[in-house]
Amino acid sequence: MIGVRPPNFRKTDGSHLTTRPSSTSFGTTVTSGAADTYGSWTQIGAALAIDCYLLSIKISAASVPTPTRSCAFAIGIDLAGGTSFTQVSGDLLLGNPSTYTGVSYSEYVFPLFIPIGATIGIKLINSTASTALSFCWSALGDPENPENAWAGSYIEAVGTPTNETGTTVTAGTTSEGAWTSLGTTTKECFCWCLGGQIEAGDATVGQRTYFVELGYGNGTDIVVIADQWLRTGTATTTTMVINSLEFTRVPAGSTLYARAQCSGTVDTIQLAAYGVAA
Amino acid sequence: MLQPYFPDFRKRQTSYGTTRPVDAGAFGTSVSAVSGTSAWAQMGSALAFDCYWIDLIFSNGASSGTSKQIRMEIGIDLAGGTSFTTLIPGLLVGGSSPFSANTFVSFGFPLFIPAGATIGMRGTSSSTQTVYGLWKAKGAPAAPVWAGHAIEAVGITTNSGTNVTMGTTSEGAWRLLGTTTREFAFIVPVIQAPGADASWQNSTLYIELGYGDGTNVVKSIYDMSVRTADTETLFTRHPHYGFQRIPAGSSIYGRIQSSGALDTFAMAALGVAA
Repeated sequence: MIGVRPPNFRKTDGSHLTTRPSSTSFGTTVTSGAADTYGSWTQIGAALAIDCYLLSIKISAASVPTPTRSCAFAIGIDLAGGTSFTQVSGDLLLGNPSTYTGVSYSEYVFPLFIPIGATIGIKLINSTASTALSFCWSALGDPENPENAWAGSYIEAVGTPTNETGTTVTAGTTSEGAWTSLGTTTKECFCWCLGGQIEAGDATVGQRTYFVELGYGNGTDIVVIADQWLRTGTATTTTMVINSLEFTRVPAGSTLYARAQCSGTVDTIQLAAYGVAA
Repeated sequence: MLQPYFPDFRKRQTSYGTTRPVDAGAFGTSVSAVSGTSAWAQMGSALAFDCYWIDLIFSNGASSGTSKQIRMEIGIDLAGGTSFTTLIPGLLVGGSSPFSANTFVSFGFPLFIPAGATIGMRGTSSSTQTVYGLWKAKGAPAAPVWAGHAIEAVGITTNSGTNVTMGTTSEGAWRLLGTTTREFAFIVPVIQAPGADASWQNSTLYIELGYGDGTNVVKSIYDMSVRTADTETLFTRHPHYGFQRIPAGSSIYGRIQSSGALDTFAMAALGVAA
């Protein structure tokens, strides 16, 4: 559109800037607490060298357990020091992330503003005690045109009835599955993604592709606000793929719906929605 | 920064519509990429709205024991779908895995394509290969949003890119890919193997892109992951937001670091210009 200036991010930062890539786990190890209990906050990397406007978090495992587990994490920031984190996200579903074989990791990307000097922390919860996963982050910042680089300050989760479980959505096969309510937003949110996992306890997950969609509306008339792909398969892994950022304004108090279509015989999947609020 | 501005895309469309996904294999529009250049293949229906962002996903550009070099192009026909004009050149997809939800080669661009236009693809390959492609478009922004009108390729040869020597325990050296002729507002890297290497490693690659003088390089893309496999396949995910202003006449550099033993790979860059 003529006359609109692009954001022009002039700086990047990351938690593992010069670390050699790996084919197994990559990043800082975070361990969950007792079963169904969050572990303590773990600092990931050094303090931010830039004001962050876009945060990517990648998660990988040293090995993948069988059967499937329920798993989630939360993001915290400490404005100075890395000792006292304030939670800035809801429960972000992970399921069984893959090992770090190139792009097989799990990833969340949010337009989230975090000020320079702040430290990023992660805490982890799993249906099995003391589960360890590896986390790393990268950030974009220093926009030349910040008026065109929207970034929020909190990530609201919708559809996580307990910390590490999502809402069960029955996937369709030859046609789309039915829209299933995930719940209602409490904040006005501006950018969206889905998280997903296989229900805990499944030892025979099929290698499947799921097309999943997120929308809001009244159950009959749904405005689609995000579509993503979920890969399940080898050794019970679940990988949610975010193709691109999904900027759509959804008012507070809106009911969110999700549906899925599967490439073959379905496993029981759980989904949750994440919206970035100002 | 808390501000009221954001794109707020209110419409979405894909080339595959309601087609059921596949476990793994062939998905999307097919074209037989050949030595020389294939005919255009129309991808899905005409755009129902003005597009401001397009995601492109390609798969099946690989053959075990052979290092494929494939350069795809995306074209548009403003009406009818019979006469395409190249809009996106230099999409290197050689070695792209068969399609599944997380194995493919992907790109995303803030690119304006008018409503009613038809999108097509064609390919040039080192040897005949059936490649699959699909697109996802977003539009109807509630607020003004920047989108370019042209894409320039830097570092592309006939059907490949510029060879880059990888690093292992440390970053590889910055390699000059070429010089821009227009000002870019957005940039992404592309990668594939050159012809000589038909025995790839199982490796994770981090690739980076920047501009400067070879000594002082401003990073545009940081640690984009690429997976290569000993079946001579690779898959990538595009960086989510490569908005960086790069002046016309800038020298573009790329570098690669590998998790394992070395292969030779070729890089190029695609920049979105107004």
